Amino acid sequence: MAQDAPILRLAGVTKSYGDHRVLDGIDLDVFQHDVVAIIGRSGSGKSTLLKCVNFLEPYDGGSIRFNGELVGYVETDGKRRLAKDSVTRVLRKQFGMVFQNFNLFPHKTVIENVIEGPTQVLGEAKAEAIVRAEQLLARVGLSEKRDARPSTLSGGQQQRAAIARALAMRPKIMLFDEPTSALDPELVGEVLAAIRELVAEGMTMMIVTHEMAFARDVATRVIFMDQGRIAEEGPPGTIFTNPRESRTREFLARVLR
Amino acid sequence: MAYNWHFEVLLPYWPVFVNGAIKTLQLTFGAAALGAVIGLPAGIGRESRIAPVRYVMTAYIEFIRGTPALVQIVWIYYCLPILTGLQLGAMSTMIIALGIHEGAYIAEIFRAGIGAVDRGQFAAAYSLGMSRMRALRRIILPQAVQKMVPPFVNEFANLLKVTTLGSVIAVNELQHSATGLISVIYRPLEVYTALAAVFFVITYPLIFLAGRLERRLSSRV
Repeated sequence: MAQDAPILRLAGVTKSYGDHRVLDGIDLDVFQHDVVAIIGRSGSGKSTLLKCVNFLEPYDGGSIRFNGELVGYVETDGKRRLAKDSVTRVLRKQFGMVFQNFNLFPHKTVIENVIEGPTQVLGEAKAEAIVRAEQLLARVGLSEKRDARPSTLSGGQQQRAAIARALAMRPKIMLFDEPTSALDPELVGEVLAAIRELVAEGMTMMIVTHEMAFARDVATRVIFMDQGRIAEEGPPGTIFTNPRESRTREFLARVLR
Repeated sequence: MAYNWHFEVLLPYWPVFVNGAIKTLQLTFGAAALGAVIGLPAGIGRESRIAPVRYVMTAYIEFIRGTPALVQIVWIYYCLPILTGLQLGAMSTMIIALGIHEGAYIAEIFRAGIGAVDRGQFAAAYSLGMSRMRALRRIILPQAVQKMVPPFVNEFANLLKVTTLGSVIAVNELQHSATGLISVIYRPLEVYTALAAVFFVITYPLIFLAGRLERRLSSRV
């Protein structure tokens, strides 16, 4: 059920790498319990958009507001400058992020990966963090890998551990950056199942994905990005069966073939 | 022309070599410790987002690497007292000069080690809300240190040999002790040959260790 105010509001967001405009005026509202799937060709700006949301990548123009608060910048007298890192971090830790390449900490065991954020950033007691981490690992089906090193896990297991690590921060929004793109095909299902479970619990999320069937199934809204812009946006039923834009049709024809 | 070696004349003087070796090792460990203390912040500071910190650290590293250790030692020993009135003992001068010297090289080892860690590790640490310093301490450095061990051991072996420069300001490390011995027994060939042997005996295990570590760490990946 959507509330009145969006928890995340993007307005006119732009970003360039040199002369190349990666994001060219993105407007997007994300409401509580939304599952926003972002699709599009590689290079269309999808991943950059996600990284701008929690300011892992700074955006250049426009605004990103999380619960009304500007992300990454402060504005005084109409002028904008970078916010203090400590301020940005307070916002950032409310986003859980899952990366294409998992990015688990290789020198730590699975459980140490999961408690790292809560103990180091949230200041939770270790014993308490471990109890919760064990619950999260059980949820993603990794209890028996509790003390394993990431390098001994399959890609699917690593990604599920990474999801548990992100959830341990009790995020308000989860950001998934192509969570299954680095996986062998037979391992995709277990990661999607873990994400599906979060959807069922009402987690708000943005997912950059190439899994069209999955997007169609779980998304409340689908965003099709092309050349740094949102070319088309709508409920999955509309986007996948009756897209308005010819660009969307061409893209879907290619990936759904 | 055959030279008649008489190594046996050195035998009564073995304490000269032992004491020299002890001084050499003291210099090496002292300078390495100081170098590590300087090198860590300098290596991190060189990549700092704060421009003045970056400039100062870069200037330090490039200046030190661009001047000979011998000049640095002599400058601290002879020039610094005239400019500041601060006269350091020969041993302290050596440890400080070589520590500052090593700091620049160790800084580069730290920088390369940090640079060799996957960028995604920073992204993951930041995404959990960590600051740059916490990310370095908890996530990046523990991984970088593994990659830094072989070059660090190498640098240590280099430093051990560079300590011979202490002889120019009369620090009784191995080189200077050997020169002193020659003036007593007039046997430069035996003494210098023995000197080389002693250095090799101390240094080779380190070089061997560095090679072993390198192989072990690379096979682990």
